[in-house]
Amino acid sequence: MKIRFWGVRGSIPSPGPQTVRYGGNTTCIEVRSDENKLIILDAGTGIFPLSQSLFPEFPLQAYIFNSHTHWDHIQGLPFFIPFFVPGNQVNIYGAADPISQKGISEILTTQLQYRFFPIREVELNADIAYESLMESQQVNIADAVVTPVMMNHPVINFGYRVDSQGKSMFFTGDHEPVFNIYEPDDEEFQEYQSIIDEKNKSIIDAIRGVDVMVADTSYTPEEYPSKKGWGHGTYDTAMAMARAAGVKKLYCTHHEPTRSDDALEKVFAEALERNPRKEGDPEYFLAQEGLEIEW
Amino acid sequence: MNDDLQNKLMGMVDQMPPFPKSVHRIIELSADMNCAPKDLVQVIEHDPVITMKLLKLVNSAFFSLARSIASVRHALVYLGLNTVKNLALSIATVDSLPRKKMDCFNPRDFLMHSLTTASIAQHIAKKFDVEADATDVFVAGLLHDFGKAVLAQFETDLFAQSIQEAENNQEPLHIAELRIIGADHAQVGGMLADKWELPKELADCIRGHHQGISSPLGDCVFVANQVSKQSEFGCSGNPVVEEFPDYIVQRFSLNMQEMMDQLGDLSDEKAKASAFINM
Repeated sequence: MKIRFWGVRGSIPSPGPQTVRYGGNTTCIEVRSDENKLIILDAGTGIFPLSQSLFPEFPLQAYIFNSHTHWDHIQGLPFFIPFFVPGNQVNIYGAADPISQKGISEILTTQLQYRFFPIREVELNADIAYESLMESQQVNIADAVVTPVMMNHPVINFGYRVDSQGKSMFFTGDHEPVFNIYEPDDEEFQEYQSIIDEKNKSIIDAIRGVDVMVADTSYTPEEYPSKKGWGHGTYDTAMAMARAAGVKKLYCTHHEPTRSDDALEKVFAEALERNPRKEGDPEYFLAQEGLEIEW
Repeated sequence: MNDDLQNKLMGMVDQMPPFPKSVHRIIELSADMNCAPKDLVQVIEHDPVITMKLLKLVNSAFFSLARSIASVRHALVYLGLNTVKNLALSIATVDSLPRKKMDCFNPRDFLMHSLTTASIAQHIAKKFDVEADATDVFVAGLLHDFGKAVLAQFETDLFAQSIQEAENNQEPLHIAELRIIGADHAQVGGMLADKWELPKELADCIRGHHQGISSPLGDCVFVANQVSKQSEFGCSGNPVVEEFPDYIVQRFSLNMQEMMDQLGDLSDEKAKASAFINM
């Protein structure tokens, strides 16, 4: 299995001298199974450079999994060049939206409205298929299986686990650990906490034992209180989740757009100090644009 | 229930307006980015129409979760605060039919009956260690008479006639409904719960609350329903407080009077419900 990060930035592309080492593109992860099947997790602006690397593989078959439909995870989709070339086949998967009651097929239709983009959906030449996934509904792609896991974000957000030939990875998408809305002395506190514990256990069970986990670590614990409810985790919550699930390697991503490379390394070093590795703990890394992991 | 009535109710109930007070509160709370989530949840879980519609949405085949969702709090943990908030907002602001005025069915009294049944049922489940999730019991109590709200909205005249005849004959309302409408409120509520794929225990409890079928959830709601009526908390349109059947006496080892004694002063439950209704 092989992973390559094409976008590791959260919220909005952040190019410039301050972010040149870790990269300014928003979320996009290329995953390759041992049989070289192309699975793309999220279509942030990182999908544009990814798509330029795919020309030698045309006619191409790509499987794009969308964690959720916020801009930073779909912004690059209209620039996914394989769409424009006949003979390519692209399958797009994601969650339906319970508010609008619309499926995942709405993404491109919405993005390619003529007022906002010069090419209309009907003008795309590739063969494009959509499937709205249900929680836990597995998708088989040759030697790989992709499993959606319901996480916690202001819109429905699927994390995706990819298993292939005994190797595995998990990407959280955007995720904030569920918090208790009651105070400890409210009578509802305990009962609500037990629902949260059950939910957290179901997430940990779904991730258990993966070789690589890529997790949303937008904030430091100091920054978190003023961002509570925005749907993102901290370095410490992701590390705790990775430890609980027996993950081997954790890659921290969704870097804050205002965080310079130096600042990013500093807050990460502090997180490592707060979370010293014990026997059996995961190894912790920062996700970096262009970084490739193969095992 | 004949197919005509069934189709009519199924088609129309989507447009059923929630209680106006809840709508007002939800719109008000949602406009404030920093509103306390628990305040919003309190409004949602005290309105039978919003609760029912929320459970309908989250359990729908369109949006299939791996588990079925039986309460507002479960929906909150599994779908996230913002999703539930926006669902509630879309339910609260749906184009609502003009509410029909009915002399014999007062929405406030109905809400009081539903809320006190819910909180008393939850209280009983905890006090007697009944094997049912306390949150689920609250929801079941809140929704047990949902069918009445539907009949009041869509079969207004026949439902009014049923209430009147039940009162004149001093007979249980569901008996009068069966005779006059051809279906009773428990069947109507149960049918909707089934169609909307609500958790089976909840649907069974709504459908069975006059049928004498025992279940942990159903028994708590049955007792709470009688206690609420006996205590004259609000009004459900049913003039009859039913005797405890054998299976209820067996589960709690108490008859109606002994249960009332055991539960003691329930004015707190009434005050909590009033506070909500008058909010």
